[in-house]
Amino acid sequence: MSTVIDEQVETFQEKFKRVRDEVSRVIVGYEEIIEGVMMSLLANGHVLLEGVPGLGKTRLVSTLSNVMHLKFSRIQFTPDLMPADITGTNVVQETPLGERLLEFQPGPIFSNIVLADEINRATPKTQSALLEAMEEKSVTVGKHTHKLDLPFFVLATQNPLEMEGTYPLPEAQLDRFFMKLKVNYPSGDDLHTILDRTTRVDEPEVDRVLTRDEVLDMRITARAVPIARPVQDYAVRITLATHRHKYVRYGSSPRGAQALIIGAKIRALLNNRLHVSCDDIRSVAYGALRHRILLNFEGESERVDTDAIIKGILESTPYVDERHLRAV
Amino acid sequence: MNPSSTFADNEIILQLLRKVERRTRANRLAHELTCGLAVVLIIPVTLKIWDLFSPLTTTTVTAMLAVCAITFLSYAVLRVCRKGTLFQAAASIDEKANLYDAMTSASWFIQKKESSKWIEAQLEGTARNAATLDVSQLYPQVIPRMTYLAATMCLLFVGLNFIPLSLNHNWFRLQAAPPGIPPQPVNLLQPSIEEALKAMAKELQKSEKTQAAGDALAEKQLSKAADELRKLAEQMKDGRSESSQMMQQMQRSLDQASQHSAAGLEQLSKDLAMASEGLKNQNRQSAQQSLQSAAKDLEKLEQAMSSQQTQSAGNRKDQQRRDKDQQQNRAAAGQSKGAAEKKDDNKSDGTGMDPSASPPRQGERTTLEVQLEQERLAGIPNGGGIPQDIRESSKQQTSRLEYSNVQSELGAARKDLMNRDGIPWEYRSLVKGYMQAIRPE
Repeated sequence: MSTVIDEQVETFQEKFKRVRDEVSRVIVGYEEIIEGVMMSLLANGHVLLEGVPGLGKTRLVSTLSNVMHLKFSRIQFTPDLMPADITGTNVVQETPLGERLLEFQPGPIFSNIVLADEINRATPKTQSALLEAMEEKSVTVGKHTHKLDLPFFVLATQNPLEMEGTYPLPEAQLDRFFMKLKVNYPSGDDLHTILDRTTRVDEPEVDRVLTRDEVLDMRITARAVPIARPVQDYAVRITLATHRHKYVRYGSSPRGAQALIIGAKIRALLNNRLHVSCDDIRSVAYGALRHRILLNFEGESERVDTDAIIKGILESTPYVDERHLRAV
Repeated sequence: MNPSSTFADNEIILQLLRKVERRTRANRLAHELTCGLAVVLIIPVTLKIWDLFSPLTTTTVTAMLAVCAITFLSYAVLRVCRKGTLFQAAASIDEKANLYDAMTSASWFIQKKESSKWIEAQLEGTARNAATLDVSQLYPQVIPRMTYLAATMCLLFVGLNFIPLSLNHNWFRLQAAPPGIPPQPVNLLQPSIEEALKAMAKELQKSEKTQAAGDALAEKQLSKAADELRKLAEQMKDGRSESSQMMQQMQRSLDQASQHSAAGLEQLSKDLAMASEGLKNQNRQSAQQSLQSAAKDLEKLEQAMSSQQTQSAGNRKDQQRRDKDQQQNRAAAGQSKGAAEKKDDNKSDGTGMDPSASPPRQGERTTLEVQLEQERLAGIPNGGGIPQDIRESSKQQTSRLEYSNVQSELGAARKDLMNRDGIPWEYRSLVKGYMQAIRPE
């Protein structure tokens, strides 16, 4: 029995490693980001990458799409971008018989991997065009709802520095991102490696190592990992604790708790474990919760970082609740 | 799915958890009990140290030791009864062996009887890990640090009991100070006090300054002596110039007087000595304060002596009254005996019944004449024996008069009713039968 499961786990790990290694041939020093992006893809979620320009966010996404046999499209968000430019629109078509009818022309969202570059530059109306697609995996144009191909994975990027002419993402849309990953400046050694790879004649190329079906199988495997109630309770207590902080107006939604659990399951598999541990939950807590915590006025005025709030919560929340110690 | 292998995996995990629970419990108990013992022993050790300087009574020692013993035993029982759960053991071993919540998850799955391919695989893997874990290595049996403190406290307690000091009591040999006796008031009327006061007066009379106080003291006028001492203190306050010879004479006189102390005069002697010391050191303020204190002491002494005298006089009177009562009782008993003999002679008046016969009584019979005589003797010299006096007397103490002999103000009919002669017991049935026989139909 365990042999079958072990094989499944091994396959999962091996495929994950293959993708990571391929992406690492192009992207240098962002192992955690690559892992987070892969985790979000396998958890059936979406990722918001935040970082200053030039750190390779767009390249990371395009490389990721290149290593998988998946359809990729890129949308450059600008203030004049319209929702129809994303979702597609009905256009008048003339048949050979001379009849005219409205035919739906799918937009760039009809892909497996969608890069929403500089998402905060588009107007809220255009940003909201992604809402249905991200959650329901479908697009409604006119009276027709069009299903999107699975896997559907949105990778959005945003620049935290340039605030002029940008529209911060509404909370409803932020909540739909499985993780928000912060792309930091690479270290000196990593920068050397980046320069070595990108300033020569031969640029590294990647192979396609993962098919669509394999991605879907990996999703199923990830969700099968069992989790004991005390460990799940730890995730719940962390999620609830985000509501009780003095600098927080609204804490994490239940989607945050879902992200904690699914992310922890994938991490458990990657660490060759058949159960989720509290450490797994801790390791995904920052990515899963940082964009789901809405600061109040005091928090905003004191420029409190949500990561600091999460750190405080993780430090103050005990691993095993006394209730469980007594109950069992 | 193989149920037997799953059962075996569960058993391996549960056995390990039970072992861990036992070991952690033993270690916890060792720590908690030694800690409790060390804390509880602080009290007996402190008491023993106290006992070395101020011996404690048997009652105090027994009570305190009993309280300590009961407290420790209650604490021990509570701690021993507190058992850990397997889940706690799982959380503990996860932390100790870096198992990343494998045991916690496994114990939960076993407890809740959850089952799936993945859970069985998890249990199998955890059981494999459990088989390799060495509980004695993970939870070594260590002697808690508090054990050393508890042992030190024990040794200290035992050692303190065996310190060879005259005041020390060995509690292990059931020794302790006898129960405290409340201090008895000093009898200020005893001759030794009088002699001491006379001796003090004699010494005070030797100095010109204190002569007046000495004279008053010699005449047993303590309040007058106190006034004289106050006057002397006032004179010192005014700062009148006295010759050093006089002051030396006064100092010697006070010093000599302070030597004649007796039980009850300690404070007076002390104040006189302090006054002498103040004069010797040319500290007039101190001497003046000491003289004021001595004056107060004398006044208190006079008050105490007069109250003791009053009490003593009262006691003497009471004793005299008791003696008189006894004498009178004896006299009355003799008279009543004679009267009873006379009445016995006047029996048998033809009916076969004794008219003066009454139900059996306890004690000696008394007569009105005797009681009146008693009152007259003990109370008013002229007359006495009148009914009012008897009533007044009965208000002061329990009447010993026969109620039927007391003169009353009742009317003749009521008097008859009250003073009915009783029918002797032996004749009652006879009289009853007679009265029923003659009753008209």
